[in-house]
Amino acid sequence: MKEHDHIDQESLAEASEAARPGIEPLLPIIPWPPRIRVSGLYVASRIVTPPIPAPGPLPIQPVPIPQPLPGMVPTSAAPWQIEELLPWGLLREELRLDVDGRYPQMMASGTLYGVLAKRVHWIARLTASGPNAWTGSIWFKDGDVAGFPYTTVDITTTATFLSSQRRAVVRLSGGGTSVRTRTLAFKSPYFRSVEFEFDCATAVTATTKIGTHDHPNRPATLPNETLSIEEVYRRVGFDVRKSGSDTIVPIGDAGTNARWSDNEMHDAMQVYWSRFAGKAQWSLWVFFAKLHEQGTNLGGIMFDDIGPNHRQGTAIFNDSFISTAPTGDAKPVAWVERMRFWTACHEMGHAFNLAHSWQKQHPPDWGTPWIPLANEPEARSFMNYPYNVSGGQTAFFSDFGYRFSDNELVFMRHAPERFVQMGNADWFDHHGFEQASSSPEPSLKLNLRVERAQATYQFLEPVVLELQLTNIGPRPLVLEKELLSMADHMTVIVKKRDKPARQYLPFARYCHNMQAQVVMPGEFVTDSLFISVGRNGWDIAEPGYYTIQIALHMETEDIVSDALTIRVAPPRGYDEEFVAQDFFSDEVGRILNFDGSAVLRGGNDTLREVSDRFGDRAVAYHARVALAAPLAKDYKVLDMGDRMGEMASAKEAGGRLRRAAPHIEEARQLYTSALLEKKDQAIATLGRTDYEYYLGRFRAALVEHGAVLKKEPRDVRRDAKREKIGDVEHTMRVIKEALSSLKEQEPVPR
Amino acid sequence: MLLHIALQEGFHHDEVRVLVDAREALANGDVTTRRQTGYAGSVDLDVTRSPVMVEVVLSKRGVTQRKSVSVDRPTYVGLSLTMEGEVVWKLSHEPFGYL
Repeated sequence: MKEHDHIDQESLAEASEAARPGIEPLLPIIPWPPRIRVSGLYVASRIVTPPIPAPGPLPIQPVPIPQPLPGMVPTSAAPWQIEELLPWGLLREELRLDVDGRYPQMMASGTLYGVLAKRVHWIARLTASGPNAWTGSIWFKDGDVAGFPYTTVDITTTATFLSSQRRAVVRLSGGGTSVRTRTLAFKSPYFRSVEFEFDCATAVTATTKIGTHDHPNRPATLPNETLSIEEVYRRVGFDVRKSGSDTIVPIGDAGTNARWSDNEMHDAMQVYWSRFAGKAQWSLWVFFAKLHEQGTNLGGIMFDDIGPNHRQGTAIFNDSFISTAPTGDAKPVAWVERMRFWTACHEMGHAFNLAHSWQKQHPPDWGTPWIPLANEPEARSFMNYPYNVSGGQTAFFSDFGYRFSDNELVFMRHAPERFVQMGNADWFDHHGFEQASSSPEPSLKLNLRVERAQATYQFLEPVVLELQLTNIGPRPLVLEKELLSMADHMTVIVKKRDKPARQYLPFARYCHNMQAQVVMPGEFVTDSLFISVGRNGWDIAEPGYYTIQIALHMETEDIVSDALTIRVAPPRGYDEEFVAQDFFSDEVGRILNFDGSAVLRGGNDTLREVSDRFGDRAVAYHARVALAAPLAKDYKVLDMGDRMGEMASAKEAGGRLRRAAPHIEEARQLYTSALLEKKDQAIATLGRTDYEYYLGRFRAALVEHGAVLKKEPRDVRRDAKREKIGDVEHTMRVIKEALSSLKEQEPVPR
Repeated sequence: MLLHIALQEGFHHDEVRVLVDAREALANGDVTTRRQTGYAGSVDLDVTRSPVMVEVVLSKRGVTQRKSVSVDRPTYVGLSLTMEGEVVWKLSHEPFGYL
């Protein structure tokens, strides 16, 4: 209701301006016939499908089909056929319609969010095609555009005073594919939301509003009003809120004339900004101080190009040149107030990633503009310098309407979110899960764990995570049995401190036979993830701090883990540094990832060296299990004869599969050293899940090569059950028994 | 008399030398404009005669330009680079302001 009231007030203000430009109406002018503003944000979300039904006779209560979340609009016309075009599935959709209200740009933009990180963003220029109808060509696409061939959009709105019943029907066509039609529900008259916090240094006053008629040099048609910074940005299209925590930043011993450096302001921002979080968010800290250390020639600065999240903080310097009115100015106090207000809006514009009006075109080494832009050196925009236009600041303010240029409005309203949002940067950089579609009441929780009290790893030690997915809901859930080992169900981000984030890409993806399992409330499933190295190379190698986060993509939502921070310690000495040059190679990475290789000889040599020279270090456990595995069984090797290493087909090269005989004694020594001698250390570095797996392989190898396990059938069944539930002690006893039996027999031929 | 020389727009890891009457007034091997403000650096000189010959040398770009500048009152010289790498001179008797 409040939202509706705001629209009506806005409409009244616009009508007043249009009817009697520059003259304050004595009575509000009510437009007739009433105009219904349709611009704003429209949304739709995916209608979720029911989970897989539980197999078998288990007494599971029926799982109800989830109902659409508020704001979802089921459509009868070919629902969600986009999934056929977008291989990643669609979860959420937005439309920003920009055809009326303040400074209409006759544009529409849309964003289609798929499962994590998948997104298409489009922008179209519109012309009216009828009452409440517009059509236009799509001129900008961003994101995963391969599955989005459309070239034309037609939009029809349902004009009604009841915003809850307002709809936009979006018809996408062209690009040689079938037409896609969706109905989206009106959500807000604003395109995006943002939050400001205004903090002041001691003895500094923030100028956050002015009277537009306080200074006589102004456009004749400028409405007389008290204009706030918040209102300036509302007119851009943002639902502006205040954090509610405006405060004074004490400068203490620095003295009242202290000048601020960028780093000092960044520190102050971290301490005093109530929303500081070191991540991308639609929130901005605005700081009012006396002077920057550069001196009086700096009126303000978006100082935050420090650290990984830029554009979160901006500052205005009240005692700089902006506090000096031109000689002979008719109203110097009003001039200064206006200049301070203007400067605040200008610096905040930089935080929305706006360049100066004359910087729209720039050399390629400055970066890439979001679209080709022309310089606007004469623009009457917050982003221009008033004193740089023809005729100087007098000419500027005589024609300035307290607004941004059309190009700047298009950018802030319609550019992809990551280009505009404060603290944002390249996709995957520091905030990889901003677009995860998480449920407000998730039924599952994903934990990342390591088998040690402190998540510190030795240099060279591979990192193995334990994933634990727990049913935290009230009902039993049916999950795919191999869910946690299916890499295509998850996105894994690894970020080294002060470095861009990287997506971990496993060497292989496995296709499992789909089997369901029931997880009761409070129960969990676990698996391991060997995360140090993948197709990207070694994501975790150098000493330092790393943050790891995983999103698991479920049928209807993404389950995002808490971030886990680990530390890789520096090398113990020169020897470790030296061997690292060979260890952090693709070959060694593959051997460790696939638990051994009989053909990657260089990598195996490195692992032998590691095992021999660094036997007391954690990396030795990984080296030994990887070296043991191919020795413990018959191993099929492709023999290409003299043409080994050439790019030739096996048939052409006369290749044949050769059997490599097992070296069970060597395997036994390696496995025993890695798994039995120091069990706790082995579990800590290999992870409990993988440790159990290696024990099982060791036992199987022993049995296969002659170990005799003297057991009654009843014992066999009991043992199988104990091994199934991960009874490590039991498996170790079995292995020791097998080893004893081997000793009593003839040596196994190598 | 004050002669203020400011390096402003368009610098990107440039090697810059500024000479006033053949004497080096500013030398920096890595000048980059801070895009938020359009400012890259400056120097204030107290000159005793007018006019003076101001020469700017951008060695990596192979650009040298000079201009005679009258300094009979406080004078502010702004040097910017265009997209094509040409030097643009801006002369003022008011201090420059950056925002």
